[in-house]
Amino acid sequence: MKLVRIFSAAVLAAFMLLICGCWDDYELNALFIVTGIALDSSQNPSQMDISVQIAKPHPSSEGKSDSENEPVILMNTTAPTMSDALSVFNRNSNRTLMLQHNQVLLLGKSLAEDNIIKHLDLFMRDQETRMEVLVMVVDGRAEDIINAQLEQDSISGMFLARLITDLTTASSHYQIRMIDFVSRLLDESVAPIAPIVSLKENNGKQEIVMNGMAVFDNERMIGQLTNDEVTGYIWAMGDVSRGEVSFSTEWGTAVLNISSLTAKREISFDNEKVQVNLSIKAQLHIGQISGFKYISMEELMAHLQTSAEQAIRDKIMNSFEISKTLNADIFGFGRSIYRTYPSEWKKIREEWETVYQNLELDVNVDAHIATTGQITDSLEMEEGKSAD
Amino acid sequence: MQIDKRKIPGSVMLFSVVCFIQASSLLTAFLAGVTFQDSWFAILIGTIAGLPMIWIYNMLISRFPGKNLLEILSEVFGKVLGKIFGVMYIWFFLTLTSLNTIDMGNFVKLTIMEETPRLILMVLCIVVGAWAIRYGIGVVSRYSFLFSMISFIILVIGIFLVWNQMDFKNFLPMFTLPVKEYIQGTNIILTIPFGELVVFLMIIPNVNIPPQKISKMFFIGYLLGGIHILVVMARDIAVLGNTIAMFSLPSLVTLRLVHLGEALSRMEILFAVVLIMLMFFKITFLYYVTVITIAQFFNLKEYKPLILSIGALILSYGLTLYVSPVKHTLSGQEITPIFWILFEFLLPLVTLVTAAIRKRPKTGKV
Repeated sequence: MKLVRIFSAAVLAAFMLLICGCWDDYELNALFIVTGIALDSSQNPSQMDISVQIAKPHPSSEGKSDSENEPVILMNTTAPTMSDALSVFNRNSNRTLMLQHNQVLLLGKSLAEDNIIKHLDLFMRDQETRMEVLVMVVDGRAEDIINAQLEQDSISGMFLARLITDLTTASSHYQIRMIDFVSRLLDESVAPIAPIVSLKENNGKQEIVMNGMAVFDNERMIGQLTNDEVTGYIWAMGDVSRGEVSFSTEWGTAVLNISSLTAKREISFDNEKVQVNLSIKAQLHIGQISGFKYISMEELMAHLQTSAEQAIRDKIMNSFEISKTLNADIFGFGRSIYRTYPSEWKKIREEWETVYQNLELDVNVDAHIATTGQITDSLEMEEGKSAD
Repeated sequence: MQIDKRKIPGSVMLFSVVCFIQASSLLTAFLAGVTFQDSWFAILIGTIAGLPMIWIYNMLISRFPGKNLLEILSEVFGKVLGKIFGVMYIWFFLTLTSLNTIDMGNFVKLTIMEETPRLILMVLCIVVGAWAIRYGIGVVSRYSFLFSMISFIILVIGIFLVWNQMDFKNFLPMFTLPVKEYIQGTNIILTIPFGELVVFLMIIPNVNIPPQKISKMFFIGYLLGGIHILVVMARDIAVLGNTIAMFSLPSLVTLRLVHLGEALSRMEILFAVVLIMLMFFKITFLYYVTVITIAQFFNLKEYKPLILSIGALILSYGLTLYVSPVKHTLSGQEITPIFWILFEFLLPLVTLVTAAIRKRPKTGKV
């Protein structure tokens, strides 16, 4: 009797293993791993062109010709929403699309300038998609980037992800994930930004280049920062661990490498005006100098320091002026006010756009040059010395 | 008269309390939707405000040593009124079990097994729970230490993994919301995980230590559980910032964002595993309490025949409780926190006061 009971318990336990989980089985050979999604505006305004890039598993080394070994599969369709497109893709393919490993969400410029908010819902709601997917704008058609044949990385989605990872070592503010984008979107004052890339033909080879950052207002792209202006923005945000300050003065030109740069904000209120004091602390070292003949090392260091401070200040002010012309608070000054002075924020939040136009930014840079690199004087300086 | 005569050591009870509270990590979403970046504060206040509640439970325990809630009720209020309150508690325990089972089903379906019918997940959980309950309180609570330690460890690992993404400015501005919101938030945290500890009054006679020590165990367990929820909340706010109110499972999203190189990323499965484990513990515990309460209410000598039928009741009740998940969330935010006060705070308080007035128990020293 006892044996029978144990046996039936074992059978039941086996059943438990058999009946659970069958619904959610995924086999690798029945999946398409999506590495990039591109959204473009279509001729019909209620629809959009959607392309997905699917990474093929690496072919085994059987010496097939290159044309047969395309590293990616591309699928595209025109549909009103991303969900519709997914069902079309799934209908027309022999495997299920898997979005978990999607690296980038590319938005074509014309779509970004139209309206982006209504296209983002699925990317946040669906359990398969992730908030860490990178958001980027493409100058031109987003599908061209997805189709690109690159030398550096055969899958352009992976290329972009690695590009951003590399930039992140310089400053975390280069990385705009879906969650960063949405966080700025939800905030009432901060303007969302996203890196903007474009495709270049060079000697018959295709290249992806970064063109700066796209700036958004509440729902659409309203302007663009150049790479130079992005640098100013990044410096103003602080938390920089790599980069260069280059400038030329009457005596010569110099490139100083940043080893660390931090920014601190102080906000003060003067009647209707808001004043932001940005104190930048920069640790620099000499990267490259030329010129500076007939100048002693001490003088040179002092000279480089003040010039570097000036150069950093100019760049930040330049980006700030651009943001004013776009009337987009990319630096998040509004958020800083909300966080540190919530009661003041209540008074100005309604007319933040006008307040931002009149906002005064004061940048204090404190640069410190730590090392001169492996040599001290430049060749020209040595020359100058011997001429003395 | 005690149905389950098996005893458990005091430490097991302590960790059962911890586990029980930890299992409510799911509810951080309810709270984040109400108190946003100040949710950690609501939890802190809730933990402090919950201390008098625990004190009431402890007073009941030390006043009526070796008695469980049903016995206390019938001794204090007499046969008829005691039975009426008993029925109310049976309903309360049953509803709690059903709600938690549904929550677990929804959670698993939402996170890891999208295609699997919710019912299968719930049935499996109840069947395994029923098995444990057959062998009494010892088996039901034995794993509490292991479970709570695993979740503490995973919490710490999780914090290290998202350390580079935390922004402590996300806590600003502090204390700017209307007072009403803090009260609502505190109320949610107080009634849903903390107040549910009232179920422990049913198993106190099974704890093999003197009543004074029980209160100590109760307090320590309560504080450990409270700290756990507080840390989880603080971590999620620091990582997610103003987007936290948007997600139905903030902790899951937090761990999804883990990105240390290409290998160490997408760690949300850790959270899912821990939560399923804790939810299983909580459901089994509540299920056990429901079974013995009903058995004792009808003066049965054995509770085993009831197990499977009550399990079936829990499932069918749970499935028909709410028309939609939206209604479930709404009532979780607005109705239950108010209604549960009756069972978790008012009735024990009234019992304690009445016992003092009527000088019960008659033979007791107090």
